[in-house]
Amino acid sequence: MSSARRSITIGGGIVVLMVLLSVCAPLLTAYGPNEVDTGAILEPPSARHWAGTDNLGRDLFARILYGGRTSLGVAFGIVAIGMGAGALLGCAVGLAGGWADRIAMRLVDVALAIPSLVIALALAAAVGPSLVNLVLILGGLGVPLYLRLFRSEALSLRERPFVLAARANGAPAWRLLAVHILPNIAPLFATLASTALGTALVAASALSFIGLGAQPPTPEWGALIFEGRNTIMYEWWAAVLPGLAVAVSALGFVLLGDGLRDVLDPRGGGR
Amino acid sequence: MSALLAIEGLTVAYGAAPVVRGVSLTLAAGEVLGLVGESGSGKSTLGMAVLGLLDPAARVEAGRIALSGDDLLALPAAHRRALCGSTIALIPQEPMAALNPTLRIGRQLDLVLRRHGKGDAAARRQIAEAALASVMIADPPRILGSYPFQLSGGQLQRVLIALAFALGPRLIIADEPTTALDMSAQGAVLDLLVSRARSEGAGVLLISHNLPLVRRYADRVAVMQRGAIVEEGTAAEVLAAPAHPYTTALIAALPANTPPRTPLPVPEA
Repeated sequence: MSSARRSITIGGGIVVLMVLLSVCAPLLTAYGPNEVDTGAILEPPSARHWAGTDNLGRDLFARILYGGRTSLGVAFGIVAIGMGAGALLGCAVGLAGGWADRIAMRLVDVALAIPSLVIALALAAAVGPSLVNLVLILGGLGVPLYLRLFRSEALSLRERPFVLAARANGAPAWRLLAVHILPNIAPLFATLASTALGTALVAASALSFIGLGAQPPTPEWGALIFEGRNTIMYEWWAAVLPGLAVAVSALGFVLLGDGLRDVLDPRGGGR
Repeated sequence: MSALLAIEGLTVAYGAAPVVRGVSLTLAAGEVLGLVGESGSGKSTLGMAVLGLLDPAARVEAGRIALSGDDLLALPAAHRRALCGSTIALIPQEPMAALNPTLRIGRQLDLVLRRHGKGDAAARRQIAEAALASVMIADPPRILGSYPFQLSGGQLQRVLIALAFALGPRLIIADEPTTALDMSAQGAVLDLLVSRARSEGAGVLLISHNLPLVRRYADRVAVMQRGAIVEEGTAAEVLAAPAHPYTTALIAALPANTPPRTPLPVPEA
């Protein structure tokens, strides 16, 4: 098996596994994520509580499984907004060219000159910490980067003969975009999206860890690490297991993205 | 003959650099005008200017492009776009690259027919099948269901010719239509293109640097050098007894200078 295919198999396998574990959480554990049991506080892993319990007696395995729904959902949301809007706008301005393109590129230059995590912190503090705000902020901050990437892809696609031929057949601008440009950026989109999901997952967990994302008692991997850090000296698994979930998932996304890039992009040459 | 296409004093420039300089040409209905010249001489830019598809960096600085007397440059953009594909058709350079790789042929033809308001889906499908049959494509339904990569270059160029003629154009701009094809396919494709244009009374602007092909198919030839027309006349005159040194040089640059006048013989199957 080539290294690209191995990356796709391992990365894709991890991603599918993590998504399945999160989606099928109710089938995999009898406990609810917020089910308090005062009789089972800070228990170590056992047959009853596979990952132990926290200081309110909540089952950590259940919280990690349900936390995956939040964490992965947030990562998908961030990428959908950031990359979706970035790709659409980037292709639109790349295809249009002229003043629209120049204005968009100057705005992107300005946006990219500001460190995004600092802005994310400031914005989250300003609008109030919540998961929805976190998705909107991190998604929005991704737009300029992806706008520029997809704009350059659209610029090269615009010069391809089939786009010229479509224009010569009177295709209106929106159809050029919808039929001739967007479907042809799909391979690049899939590759970048996979890598971006890993980055978004880590960024969202980091902001939740410092209290700017998921709020208690919502199970979310970053928030779980935060909750577990108080007891890390005698109950290390409470912080380490959700941390491991973040790390393994991010690794899965990045491996998948790497493999896809090698397979879908002939310029990479890494078959 | 009254002119179908009349270009007068056309100048197109990229920034301050003119690439088409004061070009005047006429083309009658049913006529094939060969436009020859080396790469970069401005032939394709001229074709794109007629289509209204110049690069955003290029500008028409002066001149007039009239189609049946109507000044194309004075038309609103939407009007002009509506002419593209219906009244003026382009036969592009590389058939392999001129169709969207992600869409089936049938869908691509359908998009163009729908754009120009050719009835409902069933009617458009019939038009598409008839168009393919008219360029001697066997089994049109199979071709309509294929992706471009599943067809040969010659087949794809036939598809593009079928598409160009499907909407009854009056002017065909053929920009190096055979460059990407092998010798036997070149002759077949141009035979088809030119006979079809003549029978339908469409004018053809045949942009090419292939002098033997131009000699064979064009009625008149215009020779372009660095953006300007340096010589113009009937194909036989210009290519047999060139008056301008540039034309002489172009002819001298042909590999054997004894080009095959007929396609290579193909053994009977």
